[in-house]
Amino acid sequence: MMRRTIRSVLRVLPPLWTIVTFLSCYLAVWGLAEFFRGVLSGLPPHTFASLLKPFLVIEMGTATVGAALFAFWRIRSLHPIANWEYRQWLERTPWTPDRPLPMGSVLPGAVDVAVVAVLCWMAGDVWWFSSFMPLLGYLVVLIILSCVILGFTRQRAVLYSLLFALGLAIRLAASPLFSVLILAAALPLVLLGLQRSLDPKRWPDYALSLQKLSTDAKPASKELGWPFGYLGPRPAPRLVCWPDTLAISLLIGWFLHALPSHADPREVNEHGMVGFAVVLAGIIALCRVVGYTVKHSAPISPLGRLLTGRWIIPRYDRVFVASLWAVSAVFVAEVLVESLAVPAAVGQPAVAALFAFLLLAIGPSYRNWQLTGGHRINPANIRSKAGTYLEV
Amino acid sequence: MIQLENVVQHYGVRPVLTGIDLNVARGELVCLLGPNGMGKTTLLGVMAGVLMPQKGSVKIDGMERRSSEENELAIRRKTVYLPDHPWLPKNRTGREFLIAVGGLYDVDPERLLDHVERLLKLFDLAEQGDWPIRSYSNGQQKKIALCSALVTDAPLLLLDEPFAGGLDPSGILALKRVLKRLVTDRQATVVLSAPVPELVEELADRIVIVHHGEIVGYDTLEQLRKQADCEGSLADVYQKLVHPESLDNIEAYFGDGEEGAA
Repeated sequence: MMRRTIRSVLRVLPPLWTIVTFLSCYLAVWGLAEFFRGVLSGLPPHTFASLLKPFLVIEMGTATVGAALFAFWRIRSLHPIANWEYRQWLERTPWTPDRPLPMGSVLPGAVDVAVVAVLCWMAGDVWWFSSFMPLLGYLVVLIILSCVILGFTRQRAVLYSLLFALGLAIRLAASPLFSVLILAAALPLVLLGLQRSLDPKRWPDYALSLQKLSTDAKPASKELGWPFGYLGPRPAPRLVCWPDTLAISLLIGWFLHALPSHADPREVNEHGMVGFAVVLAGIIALCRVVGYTVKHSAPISPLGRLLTGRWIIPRYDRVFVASLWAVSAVFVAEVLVESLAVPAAVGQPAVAALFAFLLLAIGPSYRNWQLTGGHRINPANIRSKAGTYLEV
Repeated sequence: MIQLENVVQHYGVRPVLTGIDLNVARGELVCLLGPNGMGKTTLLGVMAGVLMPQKGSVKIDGMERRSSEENELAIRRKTVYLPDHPWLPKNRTGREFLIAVGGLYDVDPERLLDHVERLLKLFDLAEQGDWPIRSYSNGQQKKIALCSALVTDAPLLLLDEPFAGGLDPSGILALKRVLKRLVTDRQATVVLSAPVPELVEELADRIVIVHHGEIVGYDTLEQLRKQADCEGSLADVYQKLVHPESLDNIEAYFGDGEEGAA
């Protein structure tokens, strides 16, 4: 019984050399802090505290980074979607999702509590919230990586809920305790999502890299070069539907509201945002157009258009519509926000959400563009991957 | 199987294809023949969906290309296009590449492994099948590209200059026989372009002669002979239809030479 417990604990811990390396780093930092504590003890309290503080911050930071790396290691090594070799091996065994994973559970459990508790103790007490920081680092990394896994396994409702919680934690980051509580409250969602993600039926059926080609993994078709990558029967998947478009737009607005909430209000210039916002929106919209057209060129050259009188080619030029609408909407919305004196913390996120919504909602989707656009596929631009491909 | 109606294509101002009408039936092997730069590759590109013609329509099995996501996907599933210069993943082995392409077309895994093995053997690549593609000679790269088109089991093959690119005589023979058998045994439809009439003569059911973006002849060799009023080989018929003056030029050249020598 004891032996089994020890084995299950050891399985979910990182390799010994990483633990030894981390502890060595931490002990070096801690030793340095203790040394200076001794050396500086004779100084006045205020000078003593200010000179010692950097060492204590590094000590806390080391413990926090350790907790974050532990969370990263847990998901990266123990989740079959994040560890391709593990997944391949697992698919050849009689393992089923209702049985424990042979290399250790990917779900946070007692070992995680113990490790994070030790790291919290190691973080010291330079501030009242120091001992929460490793827990915060662990939770943030765990939730971000879980979101990636949830994205791959298409658990959208849980994914968007977690991202909302992450935004809320950022919004309340001035009080780390609240952030920790919010992220801790989101843990049941993490557990639910990760548990569901272990169902092989939800795993993506393609390998994420050409190195993973094998009979039991279908490669992403774009990895097969020209012509198969661009004319094959597997175009880009349909990534976002209407609910996604709405959720993504709202989340963008939410994060833009949450992130700058820590900025000094004196530094926030609520005026003169129109030009900046329109230029920024224009750059993003241009990136979309380039992404669509770099391998799918116009059917006729610009000179050909002019001289043949085909100034507008509707089935090709529709690729510009979403970008033009979105940038125009940003301009109008920014003017309204400024003229109505809407606070920047509300107005700018709303404009960003509107921009993202229009850019995502107005077609064509990339898949639709690939399959029905009035373009000319331009294999010459596959040369950007000339290091990978060979022209016959 | 393939229907082109009034297809017009131009990249700039100069028209490359002008009002092309073409019908290719299921189970036919059609060769495109014509001088360089006269629209053979563009015509194949239009059929393959690389290009969207400025005018006219391209239908495969009654479905118009790029008319809807469903139609285009259905067409892509039954069509394979091999350009004259494909790009191959150079760090993968030939076998891995073929398996991946077969997987892309959802070929049954067991059949796929067996098919890959037979293709590698057919094109003398059994040993090189497990080498990275970058280590292949030009001819071997061309062979693996041809294998990739064949491994898909697609019923419509569009091949641009499949006999070019350093293919050795045994490779040419193998390819000719495979294409012929695919057409006769499996009712596959093949459209290919070739610059050499001699290759086409023994292979094609019907021949399309393209010149200056127009089809100047599209029929069996016998009918083309009647059209050109020429009883010779396809090379002679081709010359008569595309370069009627070139035979006279040859005669004139030697005639002038003999007179000069006399």
